[in-house]
Formats: sequence, C-alpha cells, structure tokens
Amino acid sequence: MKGTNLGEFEELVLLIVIAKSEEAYSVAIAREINRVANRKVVHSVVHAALNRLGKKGFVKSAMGAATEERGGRRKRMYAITAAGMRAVQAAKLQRDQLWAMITPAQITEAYER
Amino acid sequence: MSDKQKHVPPKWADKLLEWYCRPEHLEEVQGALHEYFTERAKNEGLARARLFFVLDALGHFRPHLIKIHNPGYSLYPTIMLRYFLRTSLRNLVKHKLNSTLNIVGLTIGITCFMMIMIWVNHEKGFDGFHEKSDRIYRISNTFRSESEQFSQAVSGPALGAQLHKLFPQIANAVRCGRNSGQIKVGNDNYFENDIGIVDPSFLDIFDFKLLAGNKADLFTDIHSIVITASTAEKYFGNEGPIGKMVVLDEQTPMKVTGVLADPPSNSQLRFDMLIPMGFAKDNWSLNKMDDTWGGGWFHTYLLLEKDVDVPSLEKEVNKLITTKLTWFTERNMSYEYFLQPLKSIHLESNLRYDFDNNGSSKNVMVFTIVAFIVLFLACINYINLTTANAVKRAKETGIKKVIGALRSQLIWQHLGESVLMAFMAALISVGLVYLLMPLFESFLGHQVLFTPDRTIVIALFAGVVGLGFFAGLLPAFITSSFQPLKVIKGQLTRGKKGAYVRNALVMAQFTATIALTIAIITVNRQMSFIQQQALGMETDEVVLVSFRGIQSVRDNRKVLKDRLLENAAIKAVSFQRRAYPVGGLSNGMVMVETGSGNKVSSSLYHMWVDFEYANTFGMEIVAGRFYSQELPSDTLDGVVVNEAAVASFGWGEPENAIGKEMGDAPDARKVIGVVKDFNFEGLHKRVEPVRILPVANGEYTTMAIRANLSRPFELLGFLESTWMAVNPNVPLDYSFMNEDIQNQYEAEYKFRTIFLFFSSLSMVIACLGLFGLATAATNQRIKEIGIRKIMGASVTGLIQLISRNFMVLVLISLFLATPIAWYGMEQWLNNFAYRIDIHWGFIALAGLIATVVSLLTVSYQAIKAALSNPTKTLRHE
Repeated sequence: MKGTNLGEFEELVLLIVIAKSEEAYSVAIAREINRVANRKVVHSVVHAALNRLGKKGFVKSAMGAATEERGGRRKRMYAITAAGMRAVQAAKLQRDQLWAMITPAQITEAYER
Repeated sequence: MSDKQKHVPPKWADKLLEWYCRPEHLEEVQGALHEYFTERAKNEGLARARLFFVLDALGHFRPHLIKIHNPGYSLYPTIMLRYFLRTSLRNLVKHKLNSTLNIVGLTIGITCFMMIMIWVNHEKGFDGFHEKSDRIYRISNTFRSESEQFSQAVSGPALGAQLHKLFPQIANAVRCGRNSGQIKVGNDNYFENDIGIVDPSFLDIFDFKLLAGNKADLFTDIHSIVITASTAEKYFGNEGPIGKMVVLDEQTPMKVTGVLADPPSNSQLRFDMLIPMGFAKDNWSLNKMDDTWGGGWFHTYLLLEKDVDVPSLEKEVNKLITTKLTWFTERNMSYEYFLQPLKSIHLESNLRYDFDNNGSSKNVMVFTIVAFIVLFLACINYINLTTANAVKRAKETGIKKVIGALRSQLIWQHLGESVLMAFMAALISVGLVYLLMPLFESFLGHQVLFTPDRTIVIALFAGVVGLGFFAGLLPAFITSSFQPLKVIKGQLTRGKKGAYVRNALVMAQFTATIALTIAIITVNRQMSFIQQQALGMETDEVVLVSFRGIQSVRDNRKVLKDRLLENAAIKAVSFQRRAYPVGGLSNGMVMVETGSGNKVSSSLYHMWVDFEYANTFGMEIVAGRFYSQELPSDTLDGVVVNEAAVASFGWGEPENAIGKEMGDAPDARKVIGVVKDFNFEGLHKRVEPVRILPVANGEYTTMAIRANLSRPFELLGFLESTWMAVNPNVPLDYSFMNEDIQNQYEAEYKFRTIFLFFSSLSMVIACLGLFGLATAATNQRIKEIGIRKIMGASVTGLIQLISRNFMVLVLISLFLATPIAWYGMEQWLNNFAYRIDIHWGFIALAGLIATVVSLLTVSYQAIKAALSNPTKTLRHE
C-alpha cells in the first residue's frame, strides 16, 4: 500500500469516526465536519476520503441497518482499526511535541505583530 | 403525478448513478443521496432537494466509484485485441481478391479526396498570408453610361491618393498598376511583363517579405526599383543587388533599393519588380493623376481601421466621389463604387481588368463535390463487397457465437476491421499524395501551398476513423447477424442479406459515374466547339512581336517592314498599339450618335492600328472601307467599328453605320467602315463594341506579321536575323497567335483534364466494386450454374442470366443520372457566351459506355462460371 501518512482532511474524518463510533457512516460524518469544522463538504468528498482510509487500512467497515429516509438502503458503518488509531496518535504526538516547543511568549508576540 | 411521487428524487439521476457506480459502493452512496434528499426536501423544499440530488449524483462520478465495465471474459483487453487484429489480418490475407479490391478502391478514393482538398484549401487560402488581410479591401466600381454598363476592378487614381486622407475609417491606401517594359542590366536586355507600379505604402499594407533593403527608404527616390529574389538572381547572380543600377526602357537609370521574396503562389498580386508611383507620375505626364477620380487606372486597395461598418463606408465614399465626377454626370455617366474583401477576390471576383490568375468558386465547388462523390463511391464499394461476402464469414461468426461472443463484440470487431482497412488505405494514400503532388503542381503550373499541421493530422485521423465507421457499419451488422444454429446446419440464405441495400448502392454508384461521364462528354464537346468557332479573323498565320513601345524600334519600323517583306513567305506586316485581339482590349469614353439621331455617352473598347491591320489579321470588311494609304484623310476624321457596335447603337444594317458621328470636337470622327465581329476576349464573352482608330504620333507597341508558316523555323530564323540587324539592342519577343488563343482557354483545358481524370477514377472504382460483386454472385450460384449446364443451358444463356441483374441496375442509373447531369452541365455551359446544347446523344453515349464497361466487368466472371466444368463444381455434394 502506498504512503500511510495522514492528510489533514483524512485526520479530521478519522477523528470523527472515533468520536461518533455509534453513528459513524458517511452522511453523519459529513454533517459532523459541517458542524465542528464549519466546513461545507459534499458527500462525494467524504466518501472518497473514507474509501482512501479504508485502502490504507485505517478504517474498517460493515453494512449496517437500513433506514426509511434512505429508501430502505443500508448504511455502511465505519470503525477505526488499530493501525488507524496509531496513525492519529502519531499525528497528535507530532503536534504535541511541536506545541511543547512553543512558548506562551511566542504566541503573544505573534498576536502583537 | 401523485403526491407521493413528487417526493421522490429524479429517477434518471438514480439510474445514472446505478449505471456508473461500482456495485460494492452503490447501496451506500445511493442511500446517502436519498438521505440528503429527504432532509433537504423537508428543510429547503423539493426543488432544491431535487437539484442537489442531481448535482450529487453527478458529483460522485469519481475514479474510485466508477465501474469498470466488465465484459464477461477475464483476460480482457489485450489478448482479445490481439486476437481481433490477428483474425482481421488473416481475413485480409485469406480473401485476397476482396481485400485488394477494397484497399485499391479506398486508396483511390482517399487519394483523390486528399489531393482535391489540398487544392481547394490552396484556392480558399488566397491572400490570407497578409497579417491585416481581414481589413484590406479593393475598391472597384460599376460604370454606367447610356448605352451600357460594366463592373471593373480598376479605379481612378485619385481614390488611392486621397480617400484615406478624407475618411477616418480608412487607415491607408495603395494603388497597384502593372506594366511591361525593358530592363537593361549591364549589357543584357530583358523584357519584363510584371512590373508593379505601387505607392510607397505598399509594404505597410501587404506583407511581402523584405529580404534586403531598408523598408522606410525603398521608394524615397522615385528612381528606385525593388526586385524579387528570383529577378535578383536573374540579373545579378550571386552578387548583392542593393545599390546596383538598371536602365528602364533604354532611358531611365533606376537604383535597386530592396529585394522582396517572390510573391507566394497564393497571392493575387504577382510581380517581378516594383517601381514607385511617383516615377509613373513624373515620367508618363500624369501630373494631374492624383486629382483624377473617374476612369479605370489602377487596382486600389484600402486598409480599413478595425471594426469599420463597410456598407455605410461605401455609401459615404460614393457620396463624396459623385461630387467630384461632374464631368461624367453631365454626360449621363456614373460610377458606383463598392468594396471587395481582399480574401474573397481570388474566387469571387470576375470583373473587367481583374487578375488573370483569378480562380472560380464554381470550380472549387464542382471539385469539392467530385471529391466527396469519389470518396462516397469508394465507401459504397467497401460496403457492397463486404456484405456480399459476409456469407463467407458466416461460419466464423457462428463459431464465435457458440463459444460465447456477444453480437456487440462482433460488431466492434468488424468495425475495427473496416477502420483498419481505411487506415491502410489512408497510409498508402498519404504516400501517393506525396508522390503525385509534384505532378499535380506541374500540371497546374503553380505551387500548391500546403503545410500539414496538427489540426490537419487530427482531422485526417478522425476522417479515416469516421470513414471506416461509415463504410463498416452496415457490413458489421449484417456479418454479425448470422444465427449460429443455422450456420452450422448449413441453412443459409446465401448472400441475400442486404441485397436490396446493395442494389441501391450499386445504383447510386452508377448514377454518379454516369453523371460524371455525361459531364465529361459535354465538356469535351464544348471545348472542341470552341476550337472550331470562327473567330472572325485569321489566326493560324499570325506571329506577334511585342516591343513595348521602345522608341528605337518605332523609329526603325519602316526599314524593318521593308526588309521583312523581302521574304516571299511574309504576306503582310502591320504595326499597332494596344490592338492585339487576344486577351482583351482597353476601353475609353466617347459620345456616339445612335440610330435615332440622339447622342449618347458610351464606353467602347478601342484599338489603334495602321493601314495593314485588317489585312494582317484577315478581318473582313462588311461595309465601307478600312484605312488606306490612298485616303490619308480617313486617319484624321474616320473611324472603323465592328458589327457589335452597329447593333449596340441601333444603326441597323452595317451600311447605315457609314457616316455616323462618334466623339466630340476636336476629335469628332465619322464611321467609314464596319468590320466583321472578331473575338478578342475568348468565347466566354460576347463580342462587344469596338472602335478601331489610327495610331497617332507613331505610338506603336507591337508588330504583327502574317506569313506562310509551313516552314516555321526557317521563317523564325529570318525574322530573328532581320530583327537583330535592325534593332540590335532590343531582344526579339514573339508569339504565335493560335497559341495565344489556346492559352486563353488554359483554365478550361485544365478543368477538362482534371475532371476527366477524377471521373475516370470514379469509373474505375465503380468497376472494381462491380467486379467484386459479380465474383460473389457467381460464386454463390456456381452450383446452380453447374446444374443448369447439365440440363443443357447454353453459355450465352448463362452469361445473360448472371449479367441481367447488373444491367437492369445500370439502366435505372442512367435514368437517374440524366436529369442531374443535365442540370449541372447547363450551369457550366452558361459560363460561355458561345456554347453547345446538351444533346440526347451525349446521354446515349454515356449509357453505352457504362453498359459496355460494366458488361465487360461482369461477363469476365460470368464467362468463367459458364465455361466451368459442372462435374468440378458439383462434386462436393
């Protein structure tokens, strides 16, 4: 499998999959991105990201229950894998390390500039 | 629509999604879209929900969701493709005759098409190489007097000198004249026929490439001359020409200030050298020229500003010029000016004093049609041969179907085959075109400009694929339609499939061929009719010597004439000015007394001659007398006219013309004689009124000799030695009148030859097809023939049996072709003032040719079949 690094959008999707573990299917994830990140995303983009994550082995999926508003079609439910969890944690660690290097003074300085 | 249905997303979008989406993702994606739809329908209204549904359905057309259409076999696609290619090639090799006929037919068709299209492209691209060509117009005019009207390409010199100063819409203007003269370089003399006389703005408007010299200073001095590259080489070889001196007409030294590239072959302006207008003004006593509005002097081109409204400019120009033309309006004459776009002139313009190398949009159209016909014929051939032989491949089709091939796959395979065939033919054609192009060019007498660029390559590629599809579609459907069970059981309706279509196509093919044959016959008859037309003068014995009015020759003319007449073969010698009755004459304004006694303004062609003129050209005097040595007063106040003038002015009988007045004082003249009409413009045009005047002040330009030409070389040798003895410094430039007359019809002869060539090819293609069809037909009926023979059928009876069907088709085609050809040729013949009528014999002849040729083609196969030994053909069952 090609590169297992995590894109920014993918990381966002992945985090939502973890956070909404009960209700993690494409439409719900798209809504959540809309709400949390205040970012309009169309379904196809989210679906493409989920598909990519699946290929990288970061999420697994299974068909879930059917609902009426979907015209009786089933949802595909997504769940994080161990590899996926490692990937988001690595990303978080990386950022934490970088944040540790940043002093409050540097932050205030940037604002005052 | 029920309430419930309204709350359903657009079905077609759903279908679309189902069509392209991978099945493993379909349920999820479709579900998601429906979920969105339900939500949006609730919150934002149904319309928006439906809109977004559609957008979303389209938006999911992404690589990870697009289904790869799995055709049902796993080793797709390379092995199948390779297999297709292999079977296609095997089929080509197996059915050699068919393949050869197909490829030869297609190659001929494509080659013709490409060559014609290259030529059409050349003709249509005339003058496009000037950067500002879209803004350049020629101002031409229609002249009207009380007795006539005509349109001419040349205008008064004031237009080019002043219009661009008077109208802000006109950015610049240039006048272009053409002259001939003698150029002396060192000790060598050259006669030049293409000396352009132009305004200094010439190169600001036209883009001819300046190879040497300073563009700004080319014409600063009026004694400058700019020469073309080939002229530079002729005059100076490899030496640099800039700054060199040449002598014009034995008088004026001119300095070479620039070298231009030769004008490209798609330029209407042709010249070997250019001299400035200022020189003409100074040397030919034309000082008032820049204020002379009327008349027809030069081709005048205007460069307009961007986005000028041409019709309103024309109106304004006409309004202005009319105020300047009071001399004409007083005499009831008028000029109406109009602008011709530069790029349209070559094909569209056919005015008096237009360029002699102008093309004709009619010819371009005729040949475009011929090109498509030939291509179409080749396609029909392919269709016929392939469908007729489809039965040969029935087993292949049957087996393939049994193994599991879908019909669509077989169709694609056959289409692929025909595209392959078209490509092979196109490849050969490209090679052929490269080989034949130089021949074509030398035949046309000029270069055909063609640079294959990317668009043309793409167009060719697309055209070949399109051709393959067009030709292959019907055969593909027919060939792929065989039912495997029937094939294997041997229950085949042999060759019946598509028989109606095939017959219709053969008919179309022969209709086109017969129509073209009728056209060839008509063109041929018309051309020989023209050759046999009495021209009203003696043409076979006349030799013309042009000396362009060089003074020393004028001075020595009496000596020359006497010495020439010492030779017994020479019957008459005459000198004249602008009076060569081949290729047109100039004209001028004159007041004429009509039959009813009124004086009307008129514009007549005119020529200036000496006493011997009528005698030399063998013109017949129908009334009165010609100028003669015994009656010198005739040269002061007499004028000779032709019969057309008599008719034009309503004088009635030629005898009535004698004594009629022509011209105003001080140049008033009375008609002294009428000559029989002689044709001076080619037989496209009716003979127009001409007045024949005596040469004044010895201003002769040409000499005509009438001689017995039974020993032409001896005579020419005598002419040359006599000329050199009298005029050692002037080169002898002679031509034979009958050749000059032939050259007038050069365009028609070329038209005839090209037409003959392409029509014969169409006949060849049609016969190729017929031959193939006849072969297929006899092969299919070989057993029937065998049985008939055993039963006692005669060979002739058998030949009749096979040929009959084809003959019926040819006859029906003859009926279809007749009205088409008739109409088309009437149009063509209308180009000629002297023309033949289409005779039913032409049609009979064309029908006979088509019948004989097709009979020969078919009967080869028929005879072969009829003579075959029945035991051999029947042995297998």
